[in-house]
Amino acid sequence: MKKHVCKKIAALLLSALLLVTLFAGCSNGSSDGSGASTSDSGKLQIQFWHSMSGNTQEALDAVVAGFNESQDQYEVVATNQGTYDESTGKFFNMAGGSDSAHIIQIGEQNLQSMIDSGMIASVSDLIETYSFDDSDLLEQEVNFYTVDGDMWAMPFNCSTPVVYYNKTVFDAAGVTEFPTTFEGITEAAQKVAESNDSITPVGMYAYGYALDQMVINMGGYVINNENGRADRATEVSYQDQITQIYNWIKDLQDQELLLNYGSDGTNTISGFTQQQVGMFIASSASCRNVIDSSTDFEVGVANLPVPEGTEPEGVYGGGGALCVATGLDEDVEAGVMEFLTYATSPEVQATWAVSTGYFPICNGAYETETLTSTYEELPQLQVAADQLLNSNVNSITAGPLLSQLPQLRTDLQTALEAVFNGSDVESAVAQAVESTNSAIASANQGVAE
Amino acid sequence: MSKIEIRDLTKSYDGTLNILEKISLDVEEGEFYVLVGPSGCGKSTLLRIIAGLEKITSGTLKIDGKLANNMLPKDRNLSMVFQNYALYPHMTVKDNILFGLDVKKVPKDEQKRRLDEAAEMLGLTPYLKRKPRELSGGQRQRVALARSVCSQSPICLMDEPLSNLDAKLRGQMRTEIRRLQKKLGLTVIYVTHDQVEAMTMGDRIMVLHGGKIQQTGTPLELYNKPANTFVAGFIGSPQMNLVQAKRVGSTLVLGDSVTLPLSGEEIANLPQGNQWQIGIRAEQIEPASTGTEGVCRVKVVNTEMMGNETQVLFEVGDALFTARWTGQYLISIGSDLAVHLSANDFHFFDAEKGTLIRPALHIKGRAALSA
Amino acid sequence: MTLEKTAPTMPQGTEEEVVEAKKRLPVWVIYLLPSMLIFILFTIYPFVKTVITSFFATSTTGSLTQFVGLQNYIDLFTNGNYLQSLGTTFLYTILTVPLTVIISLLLAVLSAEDRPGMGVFRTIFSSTMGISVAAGSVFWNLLFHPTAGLLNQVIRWFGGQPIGWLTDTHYAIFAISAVSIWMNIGFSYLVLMGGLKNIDDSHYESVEIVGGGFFYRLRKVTIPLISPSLFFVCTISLINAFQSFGLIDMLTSGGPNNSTNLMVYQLYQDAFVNFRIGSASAQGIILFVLIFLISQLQTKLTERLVTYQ
Repeated sequence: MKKHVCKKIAALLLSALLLVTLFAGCSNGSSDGSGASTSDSGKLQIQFWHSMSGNTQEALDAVVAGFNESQDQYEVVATNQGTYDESTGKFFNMAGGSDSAHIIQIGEQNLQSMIDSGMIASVSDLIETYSFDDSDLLEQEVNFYTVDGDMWAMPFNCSTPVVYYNKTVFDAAGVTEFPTTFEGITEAAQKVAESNDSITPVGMYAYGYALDQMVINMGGYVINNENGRADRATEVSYQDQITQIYNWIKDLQDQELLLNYGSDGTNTISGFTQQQVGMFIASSASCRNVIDSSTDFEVGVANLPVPEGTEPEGVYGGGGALCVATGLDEDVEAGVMEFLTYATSPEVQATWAVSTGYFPICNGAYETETLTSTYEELPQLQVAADQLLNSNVNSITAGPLLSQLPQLRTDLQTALEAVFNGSDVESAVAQAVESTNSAIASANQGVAE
Repeated sequence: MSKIEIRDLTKSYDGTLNILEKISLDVEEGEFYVLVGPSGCGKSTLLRIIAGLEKITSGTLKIDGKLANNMLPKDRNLSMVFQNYALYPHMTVKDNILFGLDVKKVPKDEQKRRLDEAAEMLGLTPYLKRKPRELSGGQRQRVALARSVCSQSPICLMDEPLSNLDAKLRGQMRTEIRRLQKKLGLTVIYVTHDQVEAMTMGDRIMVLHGGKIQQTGTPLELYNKPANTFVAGFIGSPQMNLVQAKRVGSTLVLGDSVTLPLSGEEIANLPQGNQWQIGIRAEQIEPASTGTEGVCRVKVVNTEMMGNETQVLFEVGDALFTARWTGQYLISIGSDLAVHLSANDFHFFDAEKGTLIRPALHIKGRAALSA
Repeated sequence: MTLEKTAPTMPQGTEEEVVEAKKRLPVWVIYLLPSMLIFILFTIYPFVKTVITSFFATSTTGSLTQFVGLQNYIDLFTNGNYLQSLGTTFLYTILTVPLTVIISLLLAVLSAEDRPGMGVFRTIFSSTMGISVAAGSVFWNLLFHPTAGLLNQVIRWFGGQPIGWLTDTHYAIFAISAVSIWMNIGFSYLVLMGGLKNIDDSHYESVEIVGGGFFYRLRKVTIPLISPSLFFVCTISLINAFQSFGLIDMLTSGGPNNSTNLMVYQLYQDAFVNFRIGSASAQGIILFVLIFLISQLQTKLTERLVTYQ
């Protein structure tokens, strides 16, 4: 009987030991209860999640390094957490766990869902608490990120969609000034097709962000209730503008002036730099990259086109911004604000802008030597900034605020792909509208009041 | 014209080592021809060459007079029974037996007829619907045989088919296979490592060792006139007693220890030379009463009482001799024993090469029936 | 007590001791506890939670806000997009599973003989097993590039019109299927090769002796004897096809025009991009039921064809 008891005790101890080692493996390193860890050098670590990759990531790392070297109290640790949608998803799932982000970079489409989660702090409040000077921030940017009087994210990397075109090829075809209207572009494309056999005039990929910006530029609301800012949006309102845009694209396609790349932006860019297509529409964030990769020809950048007879309303400041998590300890919060101050200062923004295609979000940056000299050398980089700065400031150009904005964009992309594949514009748009509206309806149902 | 004719066949896998060397044989139609030898002697390889599963390096193979070196197995019109029976586990006994007949385009009713006949012959009729895993070893054996029978190929190759069965079953199957072969008039080439099977089943036997033919002949030829010490030691149970012998005057010194006096007649029958290897069968050694000629004294190492006979083991020099006496003899181990040996009963082999110089002049039991 | 002296066997003494022995946990339960816990924590618990979540509307952080019963399921089955993704998944499965198995089988049979140089082929055929979905996708994306890709360059060289492999709704699903087949051949090939190696040579030699050709042997001998491996490969391929995600995410993002929107990709979109956790949970449960039913069906239909040695 004794042997039996001994066996049981041994078994129990062994299992307990196994369980402990298992869960010990799951726990983290040296984190104190406050939610921030200290680095080896004794600095307070601040977790910064971002979605920059490639050359933009290098530029961001430079900004972070610059901050870390400029003072010895805080160390910002920057990690790429996937795309904007992926990193915000992770952020929600971690629900403020000990390794969660203190600062998280979001895309403009994530704003509503971030607010709804209740996990971010009001930047306006932080600005007041820490006496941050926000007078220099671009009005349009502030406009976008402000909801019900509170600004919920600090603007950081601003971009707008622009037209990239092969200046060398267009010049050779006799188009010295790039057209500003749909019809003008169609005409120019015809000229290019006549003068040049080896290049397809227009390259296009389905890019939801560019499409909703174009709707706004044409003076339309993307969603109802004043772009979702007067009240929570319940349905889309872009039908007129989108139909016009798609008809224009379909017309280009019918005239065999267009080559579509599905929804692959990378392929479109490589197609452009290899001179297989003459122009495309994409975010200005890739500007530096495109210019540097186009070694055999001159790259031109132009504003988004509008239909003939429409006055460009302007665009909203898209791109990304920095959200701050709620419930941070005071010392961490102070560190966060210091970093934000640094990151939005003119010289830093200027350097950041010239190495990417994002443009500065503070007015002061535009007067720095860094920026002015680069804009002189590469005026293309300035186009996107001017497009935003020259925009009207109203509820239209405040931009859409919707938790289902990613779904809206996906539906628009799907509809455009249908048009690429020969479907008629009306039915494609109708499908997109139906899909997005039902998504908005079910999302609104799940909103925690 | 012999059914199967092989001339100077050599087989090598890598060009340096010969698995089979200069093999020549003739198999007549309806003959039960046994290839026997220890493991690794090349007998299975030879069988597979005849089947067409291995390539010939040099030499010729003729089947029914036609050159068959490069003939495909299916054109050689033969059937094969493998050591592990090669039954298909997913097919019923019936399908296993009929395997291959559809390839030969045998009509369905003919197939049924052959099946019923073979099943009846081998006692498999109640098992036709079963799967191989439900059968015993002996039954599986019979299914493999039935397949060969059904194919109605004139030549049947068997590769150690009985080696997976227990001794009693083996005895039964030996008789059955032989009976079947005689009844159907099949030409069978049978590979085995068991000399008992060879002796009891074969019309003719070929003994192989190290890829070379040691001897070919009928069972009794091999038994009575072994061509060399290998065949002598291989055929016959218990093994033939072999030892070195030297002639000293009118005696033979065996194994440098036992002296055997010779009679004048025996001396006259001695072959050339002074030194030989001699062999004598166990049953040729007689118990002796002292005083008769050809007697030597030896020390008993062991006795085995079988009930019907006694086997006595004694040392002769380095060799261990076995004598076989009908009846029960009570002999204590370690005791002195007088045995009668006659040089006329010895097989004389070359001392170094082991080849036969002079066979035994007297075979036990033969003289009685010769009249 | 006397019982101590007869230690080796279970104590069978007085009644109270027997009852006590039954009350104590048997030893094996204690040893099983750690892995049971992990299983419950990582498999049972998420599953149950998913079932529960599927009956609720959720906030963006995934917390349950309102009980809606079967509403999520009803919405899904009336949603054109979702039904299309069901159909697309079935089409994809029908395209990939049979072809993967057949091609792997033929390759395995052809390279099973031990001839010199066969090793090279065997390595090549099984090599796709070592390629991750991400690496394979990058590489195929380059091949499929509408203008700079190798495939279109070859087509143009022959004077044909370049094909939008991943951008044309008619081609995308076939392009994805082709990549998927290519990637899965490695694993299926290895499993089938293993099965083939278990077949005794004498089975093949019997066929040679009776004069059966390549297809006779394949039909009557090879396939029945490797039927356990075949069954395994079919089942695994079927289940994997329903769960395909990586390729779609990397190559087409569900497009063009939802023509490659497989069920798991739709689930991913709803869960992690649109934060509709409730609907996504319902989709997960539907997927589970579907895979379960289909693999049961497959088993029932093909069970009797499988012979184990």
